[in-house]
Order: sequence, then structure tokens, then C-alpha cells
Amino acid sequence: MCADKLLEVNQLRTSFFTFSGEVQAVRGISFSLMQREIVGIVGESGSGKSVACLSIIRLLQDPGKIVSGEILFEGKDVLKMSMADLRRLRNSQIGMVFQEPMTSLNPTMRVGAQIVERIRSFNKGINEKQAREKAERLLEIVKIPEAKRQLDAYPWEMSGGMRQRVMFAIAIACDPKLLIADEPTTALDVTIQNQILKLIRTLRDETNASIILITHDLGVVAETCERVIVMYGGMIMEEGLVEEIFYETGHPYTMGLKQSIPDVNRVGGGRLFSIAGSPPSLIDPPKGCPFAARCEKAMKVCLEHCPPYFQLSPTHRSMCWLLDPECPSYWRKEGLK
Amino acid sequence: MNEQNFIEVINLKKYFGGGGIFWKKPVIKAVDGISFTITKGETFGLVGESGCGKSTVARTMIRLYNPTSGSVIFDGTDITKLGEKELKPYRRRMQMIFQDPYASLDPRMTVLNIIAEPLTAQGNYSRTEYKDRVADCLRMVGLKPEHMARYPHEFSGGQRQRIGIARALITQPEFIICDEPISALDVSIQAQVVNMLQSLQERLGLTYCFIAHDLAMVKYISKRMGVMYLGHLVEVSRSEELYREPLHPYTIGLMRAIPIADPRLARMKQEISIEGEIPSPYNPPSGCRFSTRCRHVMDICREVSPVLKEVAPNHFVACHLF
Repeated sequence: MCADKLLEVNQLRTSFFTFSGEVQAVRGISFSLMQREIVGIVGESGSGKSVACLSIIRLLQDPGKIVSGEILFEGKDVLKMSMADLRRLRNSQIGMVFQEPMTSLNPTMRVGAQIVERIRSFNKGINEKQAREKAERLLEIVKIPEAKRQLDAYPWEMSGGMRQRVMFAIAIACDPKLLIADEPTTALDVTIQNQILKLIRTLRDETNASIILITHDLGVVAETCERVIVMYGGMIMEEGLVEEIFYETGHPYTMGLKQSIPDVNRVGGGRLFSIAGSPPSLIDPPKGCPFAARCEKAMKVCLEHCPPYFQLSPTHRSMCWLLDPECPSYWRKEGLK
Repeated sequence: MNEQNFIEVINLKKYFGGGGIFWKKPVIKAVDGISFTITKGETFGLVGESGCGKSTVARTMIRLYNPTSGSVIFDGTDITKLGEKELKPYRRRMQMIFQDPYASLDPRMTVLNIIAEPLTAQGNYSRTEYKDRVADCLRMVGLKPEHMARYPHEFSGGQRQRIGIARALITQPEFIICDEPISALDVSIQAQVVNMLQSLQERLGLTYCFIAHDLAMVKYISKRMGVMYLGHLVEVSRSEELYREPLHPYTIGLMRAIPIADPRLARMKQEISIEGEIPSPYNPPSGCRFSTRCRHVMDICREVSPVLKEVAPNHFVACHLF
């Protein structure tokens, strides 16, 4: 197993030092990523999922700082790397796709030039012509029709879906071992979203990269990912294989998320389940479980002490006091129904 | 159709562009001949991809845009023929909830002024009178009257959307257009807002036109719905029927594209996805607008634009296959 580990994050803490205080966006998360694996990170806005991923490639901007922890990429600690090593890592090992296909491409440059720029940044020996040919091949991989002609298009001449494909082309230009996609389909329509998700799966098969997919949509996760990490209030609430998360849910928050999406296949009527309240402030995070204030099953202990992880299977762990052996079993059954 | 058609949209068209001093600007046919009806107290859902004209329909229905042609019958009166002055009493009866709760509230106005603005526009209310009504509305949407003196930035996204809903309720409307009211919110907050909209409907007897691109949510909230594609209405039916057996190839593709939050089902799902992208509305395909992406395209589709036909009771489809 250990040999296949591509990325390992240990006790990562990231904070933003603002005027109103220290915002603890990520509060001690640990997870690892195998080769060729698609992992989904799910959570609401402000749960720390994007910050966690930006920390991995150290792209955080000023008030943000990694407070402590360890990020091992192929055994090397990213946090201890020099700027030159870091640049090499970002250049040739990790690709990233952001949410907004409108703002992450340069509107004044042709798409082809942007891809060529990326290719030549890590491969100095390649000349303009070869780079252009490679760019064309990349556009074909991400299934842009008439790739050759589209190289000369400006980003604003393309639709949102096309721009997102270009972003993927740039991200895989260096044959990365890790591809991080931060809400790549949120701004897109369902039919286009479907196409992009399909593309993500084929990219994994074609490039052998591991993929981290950040999203707030459980449907997207169910269709694309193999393993899921559920985040809330800067912590990992639950982690497991897709089947485990969906069919053997081990946390009331995941449960609530699952129930708040209307089921297309169910005949309508009734009220939607909704989680009352709103996410906790991260400037002054709650002492106990971050979800306790909104949890219907919260017990006294939940407000006072943060639960440890309980291992439900070798691949499935959850942070909830209901899973403690001392918790009466009928409570557990009720709570995780 | 049935007992009382509260709102009837007949062959509504809205074109943008045209004119110009030196050369003709290109014309976009955003809405091109749409007809449907909404009965009192029901929720009519309108879905479609971005750029299909669903928001334009909504805005034209309440005369935020003037239609190019066609008519909108609101409670027996054709409001497209009315002048601004005659329209004013109707304005009170129809309101709108907007998509982006961050952009639709003026950051420099207090909540009181934001919510009371429609009343001020209607005129003749004293300050104490409208303060009371604002307090009522705030309570109705689950906020507290003390929130009146605050500014929008002090609220979270879900709370702001509630303020937007309170603003729509203040004139005691009968018809509310909800233009993607939840798409900017988090999943757990979406459910809160949708539940609230439903209980308000039951309590106040409101009629909704609910626009969204999240099909699961639209199905959940609306009894009947229409599917739009490039300015045309391609299918209208009861929501359940539309999900159980969609008929138009576009609707089928759209339904299949919804990600299912169930990994086993998702893996079993047949892959019938719509390839390609929505064509440019400047230069839409002739004949059926969907013909460029349709799997069942025939020669006639490229030439003749299909009209809405009733193929089953209350199930209308615009497709040459039927």
C-alpha cells in the first residue's frame, strides 16, 4: 500500500490572519491519496475544502498561512521545499483546474498561446512549433472539436464548457501525477457538466493521474469518485469509499446532506429535509464537534469535546460520538438512520 | 384548459437588438413564440440551459421587458396592452425574487428601506404603517423585526435571500416569479429556503413561476413544468410525468444528465448524453432548434419548426417524432 501513496497530508492547519482575528479555515486534517485514484472532497462553502487544496500546492495568498502540519508528495515534504523545488513540483507534477472558467484564462491571449506558454514553461528545449503541435494534441484529448482552428480562438469566443476544457488541457499539459479540480462544473449547465465529468474519468484512464475533485454536489461525487472526504467547519467529518459514504453513512452531517437533495426518482410531496442553522464561525470555532450546534442528535459530550475518529472499516472513518462504544446502541441506530 | 387560468401566455415573443443608426444590429430571438398557462395557486416550473430564454420569459411576463409581440393575460386582463399608469395596480400583484442575493440588495440601504421600497413606489403609506408591515414580512420569512435597522452585509447568503423574499411579499402579491432563487446557496440552506417558499404558498395562496436549472429541485417544488430550448418551449407536462417518461429527445438528455446521488444507480445509468453545445442564438438552426444535437434527427426537422402538440392528456411536446 505504502508504495502506492502519492500524497499524504498530516495534521494540516491553515489559518487566515485577518483584522477580526485568526480564521481557522482548516483545523488539523489528515488524509492520503493513492495513485490513479479519484477522490471527492465535499462540503459547503466555508468548510475549508478549497483552502485545504490550495495548501497542498502552497498557493495561499497573504493573510493565509499554513500553521502546522506536513504534506508529503511522493515522500517529500512540500512545506519544506525551496521555491525552486516548489516551482518544479507545480510545473511538472501537479495540475490545477479552478471553478471559474471565465476568470482563470487570460482574455487578451489566444487559447493556443496560453497552452504553449504552459508547455514551454517546464520544457525549455521544445520549440514553438512542437509546442503548438502538442497543444493541438492536448485540445484533442479534452475533446475540443476542430482543435487546430480553436488554438487561435480567444477565451471569450468560447462557451463556459469549452473554456473549462481548455483549463483541463493546460492542467494536463505537463502529464501531472496529481490533478486538482476545484468545483470544475459548478458554473456549468447539467448537460455540459455531464460531459466534463465524463472527461475527468477518461483523463484518469489516459494520463494515469490521481484526481482530487472538490465539489458541493453529492450527485457529482456519486458519479465520478471512488473515495469521498466530507468536510465541515475545517475538519474531516467522514471519509470512506463512495459506497460506504452513501449506503453506510457514519455521520449525521453526511446524512443531512444526503437528505437535503431532492430525489428525482421519488414521487414528490412532503417537505425537504433541511439542516437548521448555518455553519459555525471559524474565528471562534466551537470547542466540541463543529456540527454539534446544528445536529439533531447532539449529546452533551458533543458540545464539550471534539470526537476522535472511529474506524468503521479499514477504509471508512467518521468523527462522531454516536459511534463510541459507550454510546447506547439504539441512539446510534436512531442517529444514523 | 382547466377551471381558471390565472395567467395565460399566448405566443409571446421577445427579440433583442435590431435598430442601430448606421447598420442593423443583429437580432437575438430570445423568446420566440411561447404559450402556456398557469392556474391559480400552482407552481409552474421553467427549466432549460443558460441562454435558453427562461429568465426573459419571466421578465416579459411581468412587463419588466416589453414583449415584441404576443400577449400575457393576467387574471383576465391583457397586461401587454396597458400603459404604465394602468399597469401600476397590476405591478403590486406580481413580484419577483432574484437569483443572486448578493447583487439584488443595495448595500447602502437598511433592510427596512429595502423591503419597504415597493410600498414607497406604490405610494400613500405612512412611515409607522409600513414599519409594521415590514416587521410582519420579516417574521413571515423567519427573520426578526430587530433586523430592520441592519445592512445587507451583516447577513449570510440564506438570510439575504429571505430579505429578498420579504421584499417580494410586502405588496401582498398573488403571483411571484422565482428566478433561480436558490442556485447561489449551499445545499443545506437551499432546502430551508425551498421549504419556506412552499409554506408561504400554502399560507398565502400564492402562485409561483419557478425558474431553475436544477431539475431535481424544480420537479420537487412544481406541479407542472415547461422545458425550454433556445427560445422555444419543447415540452410541457405534469412534473412527475415529465420525469417518468420524458418524450422530447432534449428533455430525455437533460434528465439523464442530472447527477444521481446514488453510486450504484449512477453506474447503472445508460449513457445517453447530449453531445455538443447550445448553438448561438444569433444564428439558430432552421427548423427545430434542437436538430443540431438530436440523435433522432430527420430531414423534416431541419426545415420545419415543430409546434406544441398534445400527445397525452396535458402533455405537450414540440417534436416531429410525435
